[in-house]
Amino acid sequence: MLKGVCGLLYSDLIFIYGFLPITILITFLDRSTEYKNLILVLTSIVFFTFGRPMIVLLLFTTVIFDYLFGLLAGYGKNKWLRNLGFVCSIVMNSSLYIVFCWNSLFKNLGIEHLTFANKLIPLGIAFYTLRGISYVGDVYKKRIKPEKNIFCLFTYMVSYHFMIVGPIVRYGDVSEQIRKRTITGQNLNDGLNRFIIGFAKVMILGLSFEKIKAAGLNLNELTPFGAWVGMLAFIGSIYFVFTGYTDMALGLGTLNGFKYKENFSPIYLSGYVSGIVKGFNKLLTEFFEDFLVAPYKTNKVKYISGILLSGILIGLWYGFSQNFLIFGLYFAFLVLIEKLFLKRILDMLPKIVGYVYTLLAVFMGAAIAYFARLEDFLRWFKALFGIGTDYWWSVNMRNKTLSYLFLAIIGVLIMIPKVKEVIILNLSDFSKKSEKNYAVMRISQTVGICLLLVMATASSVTA
Amino acid sequence: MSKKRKKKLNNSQAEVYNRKTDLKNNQKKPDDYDYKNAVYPDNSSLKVPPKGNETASLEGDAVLRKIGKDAVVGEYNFINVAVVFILIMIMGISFALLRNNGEYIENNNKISTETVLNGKFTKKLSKNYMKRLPGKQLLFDTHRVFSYAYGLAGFNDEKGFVSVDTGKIIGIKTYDEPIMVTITTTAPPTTTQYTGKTTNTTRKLKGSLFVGPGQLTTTAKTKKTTTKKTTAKTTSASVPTTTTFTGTTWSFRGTTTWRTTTVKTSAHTTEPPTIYTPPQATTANTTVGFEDEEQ
Repeated sequence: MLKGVCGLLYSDLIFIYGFLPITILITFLDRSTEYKNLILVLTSIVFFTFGRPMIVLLLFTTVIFDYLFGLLAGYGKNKWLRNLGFVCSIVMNSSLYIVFCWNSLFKNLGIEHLTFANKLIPLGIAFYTLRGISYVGDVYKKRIKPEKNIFCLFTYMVSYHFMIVGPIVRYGDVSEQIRKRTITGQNLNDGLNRFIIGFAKVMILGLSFEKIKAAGLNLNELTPFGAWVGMLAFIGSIYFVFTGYTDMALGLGTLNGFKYKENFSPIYLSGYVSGIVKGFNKLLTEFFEDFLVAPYKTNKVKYISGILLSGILIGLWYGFSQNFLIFGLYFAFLVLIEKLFLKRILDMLPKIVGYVYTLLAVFMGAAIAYFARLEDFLRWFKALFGIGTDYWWSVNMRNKTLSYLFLAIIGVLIMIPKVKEVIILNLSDFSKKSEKNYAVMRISQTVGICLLLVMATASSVTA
Repeated sequence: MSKKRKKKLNNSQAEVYNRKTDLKNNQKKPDDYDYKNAVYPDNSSLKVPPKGNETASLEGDAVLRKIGKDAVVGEYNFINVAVVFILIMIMGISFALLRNNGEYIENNNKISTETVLNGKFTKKLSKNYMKRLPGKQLLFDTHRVFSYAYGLAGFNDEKGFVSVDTGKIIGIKTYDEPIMVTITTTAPPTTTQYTGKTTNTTRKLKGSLFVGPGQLTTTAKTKKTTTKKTTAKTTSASVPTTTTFTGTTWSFRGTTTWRTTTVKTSAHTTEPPTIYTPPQATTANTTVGFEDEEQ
């Protein structure tokens, strides 16, 4: 779970019980948006330098360059200048990304002066660089006007709300809100609730799946049961950690009066792999699709190359290793063949075939991402069918599965959109019946949120 | 008064009467309050239902209804925010002040321009915060209580490990970091340094439906062992229990694991032992350490 990351995280207790309430209180001292932006920038600086040297702040100077490149890409006298602005932004931000996120590359190549200690690698640098490119790119494509006020751009670039697990907010979506926003009681209510639900997702559900995964995929005692359930638990853990952190980010945004786009759509198996790829971390997928796929829809060769290149880049964005490269290519390939012919075939077959195909495809994709070494992957793959294993399951695996059985079931139910819809519909119907019901529902909600907060805090301390 | 005029008056009186009774009914039954569009958990889709050709007063009623609804929703929002925020504040203040009055800064974390600039101050602050968190035991216990609702096995595998022999939980009563326990079993010293068979006998646990690595089964697994003869006299010899380990890992607090195995050794001695060896040398239920669970 965000291994190797040092500094402040949303799920840290010092953030939830120290940083966050202080920030909220300070923000409410004045109603003007300028003041709120100033507080946001200052608190973001504290957030990013927490446990790290202040020198990482030097990185924020790239905002000045993005600002200038944006002006060039938007107001350049001729196309050549506009192209130059966009290309410069891509080069600068990609270089930053490679230097910081793929730092192991320099270590392996023996380039010592580019090898940084972990504490010098800023938190959320991957999102930061993508935001820089997306801003200049949107200006270049004339989707938005270049920002003339550098402070507004600075607020957008350094805001800690979406620095850890996204969402990748486009400047066009928030530029108005940066200039003028109000924080209502509804904002506070929704923001707090969402933040705590996200915290509970990460610390209760994510952690439970993580423990089942660790027991099941322990290479020292691989068993068929462990191999199957462990990989499913890995998918669950990834899902809840990502959606949890995103919920926390969106909640923080709402608390500050922002309204960001959703980053995760409900998972419908009827959309096959393409649907899942589009729905999972969808703002990231949209970003690459916008720049690499959408402009080339008329040219088949460019279109196919665009999809494959997007897959590779998304894979490498998740992690700089060969397994992530294969992971990206694997999903890009599946999306491609679905677009070309597979979807039509699957639509003709019984629905269950499509569901099984999608589940298996995601299952294998997760395994590709999980195992960094091919031999480990092969051992796991054989273990799925009982090859090379003496036992069906291990004691540890049994204990972990039983210990978190109810949570795992709840987690799976949450992941199924239809179940979620039915529950929400029933609750909604119940609350509509009378004022009393509505009151019961709202009070239960408050009690539930408090309970989740305490449970997640306790789980966080134990973890 | 003409008949037409009389009729008109009666109609308008009836209308007024009807409206009054409507109003009374509304007052009598607060549950009839229009919650048709109220949704849980927020009021984002609250709308005034369109009612066709209404009089101005009815429109006014609808607006009032909407304001009323908003007020109710706002009230609950306020309660929710207040309760949650107060809870956060109470926990936050107690975490920060309850036990460690200024300890974060005074003890080993001096605030200076240098420590702030190089990030050491905040790093230590964060470390100390977690280390000296007041009510840690309470939070552990809270987690323990909640964890019974997480699954069937409750907190068992979190708190200790299951004894292979008895099938019971061996509880670890402290929440401190576990100490690595390495018990090496020693065999009677012999001139012939440990020969013979090493058997990993296992039996199935009562009531368990599975057989896993490290589990004891009735059908004993026997592995061939090599015989190594030494001519030199030894005063003591250690029989390594790394023989046929097919151990399982037992989790403790999710990150640390133990390996538990039962190793039956049969030592063949040709000479009487020169040094006293403890009785557990022959049959040892050995905990041979722990390893990191994360790969």
